[in-house]
This record gives sequence, structure tokens and C-alpha cells, in this order.
Amino acid sequence: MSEPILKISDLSTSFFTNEGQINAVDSISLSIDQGEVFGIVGESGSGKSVTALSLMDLVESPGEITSGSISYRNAELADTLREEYPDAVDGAFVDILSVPESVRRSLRGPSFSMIFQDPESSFNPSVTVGEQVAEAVEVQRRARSNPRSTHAKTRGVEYSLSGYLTSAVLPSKRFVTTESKERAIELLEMVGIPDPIKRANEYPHQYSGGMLQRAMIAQALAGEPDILIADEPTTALDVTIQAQVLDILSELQEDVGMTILLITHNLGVVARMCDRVGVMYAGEIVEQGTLEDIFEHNIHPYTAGLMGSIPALDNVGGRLHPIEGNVPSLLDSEMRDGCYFADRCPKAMEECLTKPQAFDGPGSEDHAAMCYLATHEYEEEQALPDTYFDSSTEVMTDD
Amino acid sequence: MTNSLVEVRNLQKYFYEQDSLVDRLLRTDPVAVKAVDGLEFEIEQGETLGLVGESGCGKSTTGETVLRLQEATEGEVYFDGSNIYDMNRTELKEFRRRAAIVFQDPFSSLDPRMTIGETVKQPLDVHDWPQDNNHDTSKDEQKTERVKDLLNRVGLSGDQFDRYPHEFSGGQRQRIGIARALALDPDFVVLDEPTSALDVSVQAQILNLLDDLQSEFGLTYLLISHDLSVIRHICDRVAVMYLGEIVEVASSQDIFSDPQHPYTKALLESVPRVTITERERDIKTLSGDVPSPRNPPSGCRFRTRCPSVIPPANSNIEQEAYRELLSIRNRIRSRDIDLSDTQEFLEMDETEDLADRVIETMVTTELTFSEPHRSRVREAIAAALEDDWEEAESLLSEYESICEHVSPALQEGRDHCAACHLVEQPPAVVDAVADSPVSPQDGYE
Repeated sequence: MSEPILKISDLSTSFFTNEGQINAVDSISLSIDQGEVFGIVGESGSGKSVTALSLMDLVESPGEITSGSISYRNAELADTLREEYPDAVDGAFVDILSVPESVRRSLRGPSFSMIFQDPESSFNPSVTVGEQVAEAVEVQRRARSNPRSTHAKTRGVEYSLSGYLTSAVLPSKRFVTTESKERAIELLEMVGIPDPIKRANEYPHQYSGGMLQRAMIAQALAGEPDILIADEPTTALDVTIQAQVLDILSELQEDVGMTILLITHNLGVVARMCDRVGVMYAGEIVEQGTLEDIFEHNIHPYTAGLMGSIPALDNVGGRLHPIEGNVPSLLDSEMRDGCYFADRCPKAMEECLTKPQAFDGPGSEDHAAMCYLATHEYEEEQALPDTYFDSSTEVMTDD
Repeated sequence: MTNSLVEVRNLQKYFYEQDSLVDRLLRTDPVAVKAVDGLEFEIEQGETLGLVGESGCGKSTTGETVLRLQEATEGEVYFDGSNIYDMNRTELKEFRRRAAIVFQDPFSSLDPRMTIGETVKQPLDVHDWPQDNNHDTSKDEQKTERVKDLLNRVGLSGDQFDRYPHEFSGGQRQRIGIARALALDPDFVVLDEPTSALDVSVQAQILNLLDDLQSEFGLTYLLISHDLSVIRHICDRVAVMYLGEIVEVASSQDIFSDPQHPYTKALLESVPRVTITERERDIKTLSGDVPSPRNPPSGCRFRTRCPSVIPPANSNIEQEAYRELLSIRNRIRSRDIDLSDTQEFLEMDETEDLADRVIETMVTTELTFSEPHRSRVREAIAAALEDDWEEAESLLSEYESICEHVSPALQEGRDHCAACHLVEQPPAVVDAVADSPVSPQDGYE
């Protein structure tokens, strides 16, 4: 087993809104090994995307990372930072939450890179795709040419009329150089864009959704990142295009040995791509383990519920076994003390009114579940009455 | 005569671009976007027909034209024996009572300023339900009673009558949409992507609900979805659409166990399965994107992405190389080889070498053409570089495929039919193939 490259412990991210504090990510802990694909799966509002944004340090006000640490293994970085920030460095690991913003900023690109869900809205519609990819290459190139790379100025280009006019008159003032353009074309070719030289000069609206998603992957690869965070990379795409994009991601992972954190709601995508999986519910990772642990030996009733909700392609008919009710609100004031899933759980017991810890699962070493069922069997006499939660939640009858 | 409730004959819906007054004054020709192009299908009483395809293939337009929510460009839709495009106002109103629709997006299909009770009651008001009032209670009370019944039936509570849509989650809103569709006790319901905006656990609730309602009220469904597993779960029969045409129709069982059209096969293969052995499964992904419906490919519309295009007789070329060659030829045809960029990029100017380099950059897979194909492609590209497009085209003309010349069609009177030259074709298509200048490679037909 290879070494972990990223260790997250007790990470919490909350949003402080007018209605109150929302705990989008609630003390999650996980570790990702070098070169593996780790999947985070969950329904909308479970905190998957906020986890990704927290890693990239892109959480915007009113959101804030309230506690926890994100340790990233990079011996070189650890050496440069050891003197200045001794508290943040532990061996080869650097806690990126205890170093200043400027250092975290310099990690975006060469260390962490992200691809977003909606390619159409992630590109600037008035600049050619090639130029935008080249810009990312250029930013990384400039950052790297600066010897004190941790404090590098990785500022992008400012789009303004005066900037446009100067660059039109003086080609040397252009932000993007010929070399970075060539590199951009190479990247576009690498992600399988046919005829990249021609396509580089086209605008985002001339691309289809799948092509744009590839271009975004190319852009994310500009800094040759150690860890690629893919937030629902195929959700906006059709299945045939989804298969193409997933192919590219797994090729990259195999060829370059990149570590991928894949965030998705689609268990099929998880099955296709991931080595290990974390299942998120209401801001917590309720169960994690290898693909086999989660798919075959799952303990948490939520994981089981997710699996039971999916109509299978291979065997037909029968009723689905959905999880009753709806995803809870994440407002701090409305959250119960016990297990957050208890009100939808078919096996809720009295114990579930106190918060479960992460217990070891029966599967592989990594298997862990936040559920009392990991330690003992479900007993009906201990079950909570069906109507226990009705007073506090929406009335939802289903057959 | 079968007892089909809905019969669609040669349904076409074109949208026209560049059709404004200014464009007419400037005498620009309008461009037709062929969203739906000649559909034929029928839905039997009590069955669920699934319509599946990728985005932009015309699924939703079909759903809307079948209900005459949009006027069709051409074609007929028979509902219970009468053509809805020939109906007068009263007949159409009666049709609207018997046919309903559930929309895709539960967030935009409910009026935010109406309570959900009013929303569900609206169809009752419009149709002045109940028509025979021989109860002692007033009509209004009966309507309210009916709405509460409906809300209870779809898994909400009658007490929620006075709430507004924003107070509900996506799954609950979709239930409201279903209650509204069922208000007038319809026979036929079009479900336009009813679960695509929902999470899987909620999707399962809605699918179970739709299943129950169908058996309880004897509903006939047209389910439009891009999600094959949803289709498989609730449909009796499935029609697969590609670029405005139906390419294959069969029972759900047949489509999933024995798909015949290469597109259906590719579509099924692309869906990731939820099993731990999924990573080992080898998927042959379809190359490229769906072509634009403004200018669909001639002949079979799927041929530009098809993994099994039929090569001409005696060409002796491998499938992969053949498809690569076809894509180069397509670009020559559309005059789409623009070399100024390439030339600048490669910093070379000699045409002779350039042709090789262009082949290299244009051929995306790592294959090499075997001779004599390679030299032909090379000559054609060299000709194209010298702006001699006719010459370039004629050099590659012998690679024409039957798939470009003759459109395949769905067989009539069969349970499982596929519009592809690889399967047995109706007599009209067989004749057309015989008449065409291209003969298909041995082993086909």
C-alpha cells in the first residue's frame, strides 16, 4: 500500500447566514493515498462540494473553515517552510490550514487542481479556449520560474479594454507567450480534443459540453497537479460522453500516477473509477472503505438505502427500496444531537439518539462506519417507535 | 386493429432559425432545425412507452407535439382513434382532460404565487369539474375534497393545501406536479424526465409512486428520460431516439438483452454499472459528439459516430481505419481543412511534407493506414492544400458507404425493429440499396 498524500482530520466548514449557522461539513476525517482515486458520494446538500472547496481553500464568505487540519505530503514544500512555520510542518507533511494564504495560493495548480461541474459556466465566453488554457499554463510557468515558489505571484491576466489595446499594439505585452500556447495545444491533444490546433482558436460556445469538459481538464492539468479534485465532472454530460470523459480521467491517473478526489452522486461512476469511497450524509462521512466494503459489506443503513434506490440495468422489475423522507436541513439550531440519519433510518434504535462514533467495519482495514450497527446487531425491542420523529419533521407518508 | 391509445404517424417538428422579419427582408433563407423528423410509434392502452436518447435528440419536443402543446410541422397524432391536429376547440378541450403532462423541473413548473392547493385545483376549474353536479355539496367543496384526496394519494398531506411551493423539497414538488396531472383523471400522461432533477433516494420514491398510480388508475404513460436504468425499471416498451429519429423500438426486455442498433448498444454499454467488477468492464466509447440537427448527416444519421459503418465492396480496409478515413473525407467535403493555423504552428511551408504532418495531426487514433489507402489519403490532402477540392473529393470517392446513401428504416409490423443496414431492412430500403451506386461489402445483406 502506498503512502497517504493527503490527510484530513476533523475538518469542519460552516456558513454563517442570516438564518443561522449551517454546518455544511461536520468534522470529517479521511486520508487519500498517493495515486489512488478516492470517491465521495452523497446526495445534493450533503456537503460534498463544500469539502472540495475547503481543500482548494475556495470557501467564500459567509462560509469559513472552522476547525481541523489538512495535511499534505510534499517533502520539498516541507523543507522550505520548516523554518518559517515550524508548527505547520510535521515530517514531510504540511498542514495547509496553518500556513498563510499566499502559500496556499501557490499550491493551487502544482499541488491541487480542480475541475468543476458545469463546464459551460466555468469558461469565459469572450476568450478562445486555447487562450484560456494557455493562460493557466502561463500562470504556472511564471510561478515555477520564481525560485521562492511558495510565495510566487500567480496572478492571472486582467481583461480590460486598455489591456486589450496595449497587447494589440505591443505583442510583447501579451500575457500568453507562444510556448505556453504550444503547451496548451499539447494539453488539449492529451485530453482527446480532435484537431487541437484548430479547436484552440475557437470560443467556448463553439464547443459541445463534453469537449468543454475536456478543455477544463486540460486547464486543470496545466500545473501538473499532484491531486486533482473533480467535482461532479460528468453530471452535465450524456452517458456516451460521460464514458469518454471517465476514460480520459482514468488514463491520466494511470499514466501520470495522479491522485484524484472524485465527487459524485452517481454510484455507477464511483464503481467505474474509485479505489476507495466515502459516503457523505448531512455533512458527515457516515461510511468509508474500499469499493468492496461499501458495495458488498456496507453497514450504515444510509449506504444500504442508496444502493437500494438505484434501478439496476441488469436485473429488471421489482420495487425499489427508497429511503423515506428528505435530506435534513443543516442548520445548526435544527440538528439533533444523535445520529443525523435516525429520522429516516429503518433501523433506528434508542442508542441512535446519542451520536455514534466511527466504528471499524467488518470489511478491509480502512472500513469504518458511523453507526451502532457496526458493533452490534439490530434488535427490534430496542427500536424507536415509527412515529418518534414525526412531531419534529415534515409529515411524509409513503407506501 | 390493435387497441392503441396513441398512434403517431410521420410526426415532424422543425424549428426555423433566421426567420425573423429582418431576415425575410434581407431574403436570408430560413434554416430548419429538424428537432423531430418523421416519428412513427404507437402506445397501447395501459402500457408505458419509454423514449430514451441523449440531450438534443428531440425527446421533449416529441412529448410536447404528441400533446399538441406545440404545433407539429407535419404528421398526425391519433388519440383514441381521432387525430388531435384535426380537432376543434371543444374536442381539443376534451382531449386535454384525458391527456396530461408532468414536467422535468419541479422548481420552475409550479407557480410560486399560488398555493399548492390552487395549483392542483386549477385544472378542475378550467374544465368545470365535476360536470354532473347531483351531490348536495357545492362544486367548490367537492373540488377541495378532490384536491385533498389527490395530495394524499401522491404522498403529501391534505393539510398542506395552503402552503406555497417554496416550502417543499424537489421530490415533494414533483409529487405536486403529479397530483396536478392526475386531477382530471386522465387516461394518458406524458412524463418528461420526471426524476432527472432529483436525488437517487427521492427518485426511487417517485418511480414507485408512478408505478402504483399506473396500476391503480390504469394510466398509459409516455416516459421521456435520458436515464436508461429508469427506463428499464418502469417501461414495457422502449423507443431509442437519435437526432430526431427513432432508431430502435422493442420491448424493454429485448432492448436491454438483445439490442440491435449500434447506437443502442453503445448507449447501453456506456452506462456505468453499480457493481464492484465495473472497473474491469471494457467499454468501447463512442467517438465524437452528436452532429447538429441543422444539417444532419445524409443517409443514416448515426454513421458519423457509428462503430460499424459498412465499407464499400472490395475496399479491403479495416473498420477503424475506414472510420478515420471517412472523417477526413467529411472534412474535405465541408472544405474544413484550414491550414493557415497548422502551417504557422508547425513553421513549415512545403506542401509535400505538410500533407504527412496533417495526416498525423488529423488522425486521432494511433493507427497507420495500410497501403494503398495511405497514399490516397495523402494525395487527397495534398490536393486540398492546393485548393483543388474537387480533385481531393474524387480521390476519396470510392470509399463511399451505403450508410451515407440510403437511410435505413424501421421494419413494419414487428415487435423489435431497428433502423440499421446491419439488420434486415424493409423492401423499400432493400430496393434503394440495390439501386444505389455503392454496393456494400460482402457479408452484409
